[in-house]
Amino acid sequence: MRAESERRPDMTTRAVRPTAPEAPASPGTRYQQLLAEHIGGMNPGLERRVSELLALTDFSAAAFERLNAAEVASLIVLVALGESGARWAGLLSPDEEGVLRPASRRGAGKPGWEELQLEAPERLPDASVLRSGGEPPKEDAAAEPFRQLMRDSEASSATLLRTRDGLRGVLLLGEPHPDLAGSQTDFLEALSVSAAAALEKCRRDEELRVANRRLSLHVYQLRSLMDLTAGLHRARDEAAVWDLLLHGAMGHVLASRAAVVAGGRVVAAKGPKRPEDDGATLVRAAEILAGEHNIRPATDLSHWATSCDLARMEIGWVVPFASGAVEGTLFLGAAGFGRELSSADRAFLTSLTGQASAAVESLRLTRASIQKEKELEVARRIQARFLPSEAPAYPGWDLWGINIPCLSVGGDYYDYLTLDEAVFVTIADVSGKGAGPALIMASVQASLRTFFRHGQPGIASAAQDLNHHLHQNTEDSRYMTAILARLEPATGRLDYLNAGHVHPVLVRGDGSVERLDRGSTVLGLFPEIDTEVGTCELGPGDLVALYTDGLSEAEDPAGSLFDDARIVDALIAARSMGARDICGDLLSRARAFSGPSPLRDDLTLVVLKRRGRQIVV
Amino acid sequence: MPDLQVATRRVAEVVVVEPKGFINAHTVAEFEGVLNALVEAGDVRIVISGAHLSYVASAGFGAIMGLIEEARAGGGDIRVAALTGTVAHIFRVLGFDRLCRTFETEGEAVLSFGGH
Repeated sequence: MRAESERRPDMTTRAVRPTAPEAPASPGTRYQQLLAEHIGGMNPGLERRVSELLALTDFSAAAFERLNAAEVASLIVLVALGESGARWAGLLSPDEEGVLRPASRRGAGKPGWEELQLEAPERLPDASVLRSGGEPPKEDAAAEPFRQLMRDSEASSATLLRTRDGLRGVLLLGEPHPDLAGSQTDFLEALSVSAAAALEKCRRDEELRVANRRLSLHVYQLRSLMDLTAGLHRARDEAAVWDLLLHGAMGHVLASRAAVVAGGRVVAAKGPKRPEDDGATLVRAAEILAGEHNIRPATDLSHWATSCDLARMEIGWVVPFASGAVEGTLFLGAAGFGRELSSADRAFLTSLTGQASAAVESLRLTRASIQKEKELEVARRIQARFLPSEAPAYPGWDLWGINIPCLSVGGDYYDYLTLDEAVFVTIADVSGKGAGPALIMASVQASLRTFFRHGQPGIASAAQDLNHHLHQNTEDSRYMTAILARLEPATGRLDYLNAGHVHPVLVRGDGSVERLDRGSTVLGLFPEIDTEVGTCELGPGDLVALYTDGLSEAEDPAGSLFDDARIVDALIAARSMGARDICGDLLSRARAFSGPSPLRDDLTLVVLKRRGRQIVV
Repeated sequence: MPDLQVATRRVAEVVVVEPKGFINAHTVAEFEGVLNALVEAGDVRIVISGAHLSYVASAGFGAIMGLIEEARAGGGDIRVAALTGTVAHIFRVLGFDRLCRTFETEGEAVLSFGGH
């Protein structure tokens, strides 16, 4: 500061007071103070300019420290009023739609000021300061709206506060004090630049605040949606899902009432308790909207009387949703403080209802799959219980059977019933899978055992009896294929009845092959059947293989079947083995054939082998 | 340490509910359960003190919204006090402070119910 004074010797003669110990910190303010101290004694013109300059620097320093547009507007008016000596000053600034409206005013009042407004014109006049009075109206037409504004407000001047981005305000001044006319225009022009810049800064600050607020809201909503999604998929039951859906939706739009309708009933509701018949109204409205996916205001259902009821219930929005088999409708009270739903709100609600219905669907599928798994487990246990644990032993004979259940429980069955002179061998396959066929098998076993134990050894009548039993007691499409056989170990005589089953293979010790094809149609499909019993003799070294289509229809990855020809070839090759080894051999060939493909059906194989003479002896 | 603990205290005829921790989709059922039990029992002058509240997800606002009208219909209200940091910010951002009266301190909120 000392250096400054030395360069301007003409000023050093004035009484410059030393810097006060409590001097203001701001250099700008110190400079203003310094200038102000020199004003007294200047010529009046210079004095006025310095005073104006001080007002401008003061304004600029203050305006840029403030963020609030109202405060800046007020400051502009005060500075203009102070320097111009006008009776009043007022500022109009643009609102969000760009319409200029009163922002601040000081000085003598005028009725109607608050009602002033001006649609900001596309083109602005060249001049920044317009004055009323004796000037000829030769200026451009763009000034006219502002002149009208001056006439309406009885202003003597209008100063346009503009930046490159457009008009930021209009400063209106009332009649000036007569002594102070003259230099106002220059000052107002200078002020207009600073004032416009300050207002522009306020506008940008405000935009930034709004953008920050919006961003902050979106981040929060996204976090909430993630929180809700995780919660929905962790919910232990459907009621918990619907509750959380309501909490999430109500919290998002700040509604105090909401309900969900799914499956034709109100599954959850929150907010003040309502009469019972309101539930019926919600269900009816949900039916009207079934299959839609648009979020709608409740009043949109105006074609139906429902809309009046929804209005009475203070329902504002209806949100239909669906995921797979789960369909429903969310009803929401009007959003808090009556706001409209934005596209982001709609996206939130669509996403939330989608997640909720997916969570419910997932719960239902899990429950169904647990139910099914339990049912299969029961069926497996039933099936395992009635399969024979071991084959009966007869001198000179080797009997063996295997049953390999596939993943789903099928309807394969085999059994031996030993009587005094004969063994009854049964192999059967009930159509269908699951607990149904397994239970039928249990009843088939019971009726066969009853039948044979009561001294009716004829397999033809056994087949008739079984057909009748199945036809009477099972659904129409259910049937069974079976081989019923009676073997006399002492003689080697085998009587059999093939009821629509895969033909058993008889392989003689010499390698010749016969198929056992006598019998009847499948059992259980028709009320009456014709039967024919086939008979053959098994000599030493001969064998009969009975099997189900789980063996003959084992598939390789290319879809070819392990057909009868392969089975016959394998049996011929294995005919000198024991029954157990033959079973094992065929099973491993079938498995090698199907490769990585799992068995599609139960596989059952029973081998009745008469030992060769050399082994018997 | 659970995500949320909800303590309640009676101050004159007002019940102060003091949730500690996080109100989110995981804990909202517990929070709502406490408020619901109060409203059902006729304790409708409720102050939720946010002094120990770390976060409120939107499901938590849903729980308050779902009971506030019932509390008002019963001659009471649900008011909020002593919000701090993030939670106070969320209340402002959502505009929740326009739907629900909020106070700087629990004492002010309790006194706001007047001599009922």
